[in-house]
This record gives sequence, structure tokens and C-alpha cells, in this order.
Amino acid sequence: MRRHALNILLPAATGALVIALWYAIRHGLSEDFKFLLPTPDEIIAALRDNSETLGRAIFNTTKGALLGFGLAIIGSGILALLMSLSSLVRVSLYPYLMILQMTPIIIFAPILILWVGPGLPSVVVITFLICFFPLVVNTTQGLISTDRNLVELFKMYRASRWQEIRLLRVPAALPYFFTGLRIAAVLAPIGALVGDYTAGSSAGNGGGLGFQAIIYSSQARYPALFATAAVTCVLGFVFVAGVLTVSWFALHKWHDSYQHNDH
Amino acid sequence: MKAFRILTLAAALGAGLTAVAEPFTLTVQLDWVAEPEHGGFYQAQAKGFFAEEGLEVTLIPGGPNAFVMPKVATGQADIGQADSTSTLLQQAEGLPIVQFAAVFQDDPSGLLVNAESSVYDFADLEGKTIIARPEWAFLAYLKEKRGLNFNIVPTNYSITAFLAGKEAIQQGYSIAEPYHIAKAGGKKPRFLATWDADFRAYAVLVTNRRFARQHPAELKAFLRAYLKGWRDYLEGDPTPAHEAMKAANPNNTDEFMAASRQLIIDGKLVTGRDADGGPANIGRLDPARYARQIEQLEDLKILTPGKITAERAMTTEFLP
Amino acid sequence: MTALSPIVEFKSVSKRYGDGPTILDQIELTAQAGDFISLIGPSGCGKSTLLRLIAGLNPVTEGSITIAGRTPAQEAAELAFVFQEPTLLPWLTVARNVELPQTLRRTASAERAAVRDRALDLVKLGDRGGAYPRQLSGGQKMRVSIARALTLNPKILLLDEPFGALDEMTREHLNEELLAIREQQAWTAFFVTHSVAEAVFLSNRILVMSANPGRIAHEITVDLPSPRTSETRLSRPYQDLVAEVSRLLRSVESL
Repeated sequence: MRRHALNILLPAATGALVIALWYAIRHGLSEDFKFLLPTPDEIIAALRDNSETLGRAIFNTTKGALLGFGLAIIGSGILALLMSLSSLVRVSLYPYLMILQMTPIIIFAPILILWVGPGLPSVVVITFLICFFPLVVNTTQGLISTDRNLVELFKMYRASRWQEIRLLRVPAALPYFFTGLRIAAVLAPIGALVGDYTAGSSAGNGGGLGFQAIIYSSQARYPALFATAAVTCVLGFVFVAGVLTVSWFALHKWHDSYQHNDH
Repeated sequence: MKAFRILTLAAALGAGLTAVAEPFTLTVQLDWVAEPEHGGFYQAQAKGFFAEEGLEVTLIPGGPNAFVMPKVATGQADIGQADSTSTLLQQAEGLPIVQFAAVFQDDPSGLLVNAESSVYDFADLEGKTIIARPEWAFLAYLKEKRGLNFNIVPTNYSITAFLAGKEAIQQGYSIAEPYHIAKAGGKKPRFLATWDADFRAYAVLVTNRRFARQHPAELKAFLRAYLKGWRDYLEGDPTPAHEAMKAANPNNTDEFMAASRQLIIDGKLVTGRDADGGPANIGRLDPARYARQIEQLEDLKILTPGKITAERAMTTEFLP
Repeated sequence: MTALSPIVEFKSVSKRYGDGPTILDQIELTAQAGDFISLIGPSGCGKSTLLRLIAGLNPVTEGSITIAGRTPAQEAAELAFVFQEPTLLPWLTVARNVELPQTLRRTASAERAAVRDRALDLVKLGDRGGAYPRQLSGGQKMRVSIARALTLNPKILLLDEPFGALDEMTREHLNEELLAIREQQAWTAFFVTHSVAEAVFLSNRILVMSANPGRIAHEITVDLPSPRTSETRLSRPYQDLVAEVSRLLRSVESL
């Protein structure tokens, strides 16, 4: 009971201390430089005043992030399966996937604008690219790393190739998949944001959080900029929390990563 | 004996020269890469006008992400070049900036329209897509004042999209992009100037308030040299400035720089398009124009009333 | 199958992996239905390989193996293999793990459940059907593995050091359980072990193998009475046999 209370009290106290410090620093800044550090209440006010614009921006960024994320999951699943089935395909493609994983996707932004157009299409493609590679690499690894003994077991029972994939390789690969998913969940909002930043468009009320950030920053509207940053953090948090929850549901009963003590 | 006299004279001269104060160093953050719009700076520097005033000026070229305002506001640069409207909006947000001299009496930012486009006037922009900096105040002004609705796509400053699309509309500088477009084989674009929509902005020099408080003499000296540089650049031989610009930005060609300079002269951008235009007008800021623009922006709710006034935004105290 | 026709027959079976050393050299072996044959020997003598050849997991290099008259590839249906590791699917419950062979055969669910429950009862884990493998002890996991092997009603049970990782007490206990199950299901067993005591307790025939190359060096018949219990371990004949087999094993190891 005591420990539980401390787990809440300590962070809360730290938070209060930080906020107090924040105001103190602000107070200490000369008039000319107060603009560098908006106070929490200024940020909240900016949130309120710009709630309609920010609301729309959140919606657009989330839409782009979810679409890119979803497509990456599907696409990576298919490619991972193909690569696990054929070592020819795997050996041919793997080096390129590794190279692409290491390339900063941002460099492709101007090209994408030319090919698919600015706004949602570019945002979705950038998010897709950013999420795709960790997912495909991890899932493929999972599909080919199945315990040798289990594979032999299935062979012993004369299981068909399809049975082996469906009943053995895919479930065994789930922990790997979720590792990739957790990485991708962190990257998806970033990808959508950066996509929006470099290739966003206000067409049809389509501007996202990145687009808004450009505007606020160029207009020196720093409270609104900080508010946009705060909102983006929440978005990232929601994404990761969502994936962690799904991951828990799928794995907690049987996987070592979720500790359980009832022998 | 004679040798001894010459020696003492030389020594005295030497002592006298070193007794002159160390030059005062200044950094200027340019808003773009070195181009004829910076003619005043480069001519003044190349022909020693700054040195004559006891100044050592470092010109830092900019680009798509020059960050002029944050740098000047935080003191990372002493002087910057910007447009007066966006500066006003940022001053309203509390940035410690003051506008103290004009570069252009009218900022040549406007809308480049493809020669084959159906757009001839601002009203034709309805429903179109404009490639521009999303925070450009002129766009908000058009939307509110004319009740227009259009899409904005952030610009990446290349003319590729403009050349590619018949209906392309892009933010540009009247003294630069049209040349590049023609050079790339495109037809000469139409130009919708902001002043034709009753939106009068300057291109200005800005400094931060602390610097203005602490170094008024140096700012005056700077402006003397700068304005002399402009006159010399526009009326005399611009070669010293152009050589310096080429050194700073190897992409500059003599042909481009000559063409751009000519456009500046023909457009009366530095001397002024109004009746009171002329060499004596170089660098001047008119408080009435500021008051008018502030009023316009407040009426259109682009600016919150009371946050900035003409007196607070600009000063003419450093102009000769 | 008559008593005279063997259930497993090795004829001049040799096994090499590629250009590697000869793992098994000219093995001749005949097993009758109902035999419990233990294979014991030093590392590298090919005892596990021998099992795998019967199972059809690896092909022979020379010679032939027949199982009830057919080749290993054809005879898979009535063979079951218990590996050294329990090899349970961690994401399936104990019940679903035990059902696995039938699931792969697409047996109807009612029949599947009945067979599964019977198998779990046999290994005395009828109440742990809903548990996950990670909740079980090593010995329990092994029993699930055995239960799974039994669901196909195998004629031949292949066990490769199944109790090697367990402690002495659990091991003796599971030995007795194995024999008890055998009372109810008459399968022929091939059992690889390092424990002489275990070999003597469980089998009616012990094959001592030598290494480099793998050969059957000695065969011992164990005719201790059935049913074998913990009492049997204390009997004189048992201990004499253990001593005898140990001696033979040592002689083979020094080769």
C-alpha cells in the first residue's frame, strides 16, 4: 500500500517542482527574452484558442499515421511471408531492405511530392516507408527463426507446408512481429509529422500538426508551437500505448517477456 | 639627419594609425543566398564604405531556412533582412525586434502565374492551389479581405513544379524567379504584385532592441555606409558587389545578376514607386504606411489589436 | 504381424552426412513387437541418429530399414517421437499441445478431445489442461510431450533421452509411469539414454554401441520380471545387470 502511494506521490511531486521551476525561470528572464519560454498557462491558453485548428491538425496527422501504419503492417506481413518461404527471394531482397532501412526517408520527400502529390498521399507514403522496414526485418527474422525442434516435430507429424506456416511459424513469429510493431508505433507519428512538415498541404483542410508547426514557428507564435508539440507527444503516446495493449493481449499468457509466477 | 626625421615621422604615423580604435564587428544575417537584393551590403563592403565608418561587417548568406528572426531576436546576429509584415506579426508576439531601415520601398514578393494559366487577377485565385510559404501574411490577407478560398502547398523553392504545371501559381520574388524560369525555357510568367492588392510591405533591416539601445552610433554608421553602397551599386559600377556575390554564391552568373539589378532599377524598388520616390528616399520608412498596415491586419483579425503599434515596431532614429 | 515377423528391421544400414565421418556402420537390427530396446553408448556412437532414421527424419546412406514391411517414409502414421526437449508450443495450452498431432490430421473435434483427455489422464495431468507450458515444471512438460506422442496410438515409440534433464527422483518416477502406460498400450519402444540404471529398469533388450564408427558392440537381454516397480531396483538381479552393463559400457568407451 505504502509503495503504491509512493509510486504516485513521487512523480507528482517532481512534476510540481518542475512547473514551479518553469515559472521561476520565466520570471527571471528579461522582458526581451520572455518569448523564449512560454508559461504553462500561456500554452494551455494557446491550446484553447487554437483548438479548432489543432483539432483538425490532429485528425489529419492521425489519419495519415494510421493509414501509413496500417499499410505498412499489411505490406510487411506479405513480404515477410514471401521472404520466409523462399530463400531466393530473401537473399535477393534482404540487403536492399537493410540499406533502405538505414536511409533517412526524408530525403525522398521532394521526389514523393512530385510523384504522388503533396498532402495526405505523401504523408501516407512517408509514414509507410518509415514503418515498413523495421516491421519487415523483424517479422522475417521471426518467421525464419522458428525453433528447429518444433519444425522437426511438425515434419514428424507430416504437416503440410501451409499447416507449418499457419500453426507454427506465424505464432512463433508473433513476439518478433510485436517488437517490430513497437518500433513502428513510435515511428508512425514521427513519420506523419515529418511527412506533413516537408510535404504537407492545406488542401481541403488537410494540414496536419507538422504543417501547423511550420506556420506557428514562422510567425513566432511560440505558445501555440509548444501546444502543438504537447499534442504531438500525446499522439505518440497513444500510438505506443495502443500497440503495447495489443501486444499484451496477444502475448501475456505465454511469452517470457510477460513475467508470471504460478508454478 | 634627414633619414632620422623620416623615421620619426613614420613612427608617429604608425602610432597614430594604431591609435585609431579597433573596428566594430557586426554580423548581418541575410534572408537568402547572396543576390542583387543585397546589393547595398556587398557594394559597401567591397568598396570599403563599412571600413571607412570603422565597421567590420560579416555578411552571413541565408537560404530556405535562414531563421533570420530567431537569430536576431536572440542576438546570434546583430542585423537581419526581412519583410516588414511578417516582422510586425512576430513583434506582436513579443519578439524584441525593431525595424530601422528600408531595403526595398516595396517588397517584391508576389505570385508568379504561369503564362498559360487562367489566372489573371486575384479574384481568379478562388479554388486554386498556391505553392507558397504557408505563414505568408499576404495569403491570410487575401483570404480575409477578398473572401477567397484557396489551397496552400508549402514551397520547396524550386521552379520545377512551376514549369511543370500550366495552372501553377507560386510565391516568388519579381527580381529573381522570372529570370530563372525564362532561362529554363519557360515562358515569361505573369506576376501578381502585393501592392496591386493594396498590401504595402517593405523589405527591411531589423535589429534587436538591446543592440539598438547599446550601439546607436554604430547603427547610424552602418546605415550611412549601407545607403552609400546602394546608391553606388545602382548608379555606378556594380562589379565589386557582383564579384563578392559570386564568391559567396558560385551559382550566381553575371547575366543573372545584371538582369536582376536591372529589374530592381526598373521597378524602382529601392528608390520608391510613389511620388516621393528618388535617391533621397533610399532606406526611408514611413510611419503612416506602418500604421495603415497595422490597421488593415487588425481589421481582418490577422493581428490582435493593441499588440503592436507603428511607434513600437519601427524607428527612423538611425537614418541619416 | 506374426510373432516371427519383426516390427523394425535394419539391414546393413550405414549413415554418413555428406562427405563426413561414418556415423553408423553396417547396422543389423531386428526388433519384435513389444520390445523395449534401450540404446546406450558414448557420445558420437550414433544412437540418436539411429532413432531419427527409424522416424524418417533423415535418410539412410546405405542399406534399408523396414517398419512392419514398409519403409520409414511410408510408415509415419504409427510412429511417435519424444524429443530430448519437451518441444511444446508455448502459445498453446497443454490441452491444445496434446491435441496437436490430431489437429494436423484434421481429426473431428469430439474424437480429438476424447483422445486428448485419455492421454492426459495416462500421464496424470488431467487437471492441467488449461495451463500454459511455462507454468509447468520440467517433469510435467515432459509428461505432456509423452501424452502428445501417445495420442496417435503409435505402434512404435521413439524416445531420445527424454528424462535427461530431470533430477533422479523425478526420473525414477517417470520411468515407473512410462511402464505403467505401457501396460495399457502395447507399443514397441526405442529408448536412448545415458543412464544404465534407467536402461536396465525399462528394457527387455539393451544395445551397447561403440563410436567411430557407430556399431552395436554388445546386446544384453534383460529378463527381470514384470511389473517392474521401485522394489525391482532393490533386487539382486537388477543390480547385477546394472554392474554388467556398466562394465560393457566402460569397455566400449575406452576403445
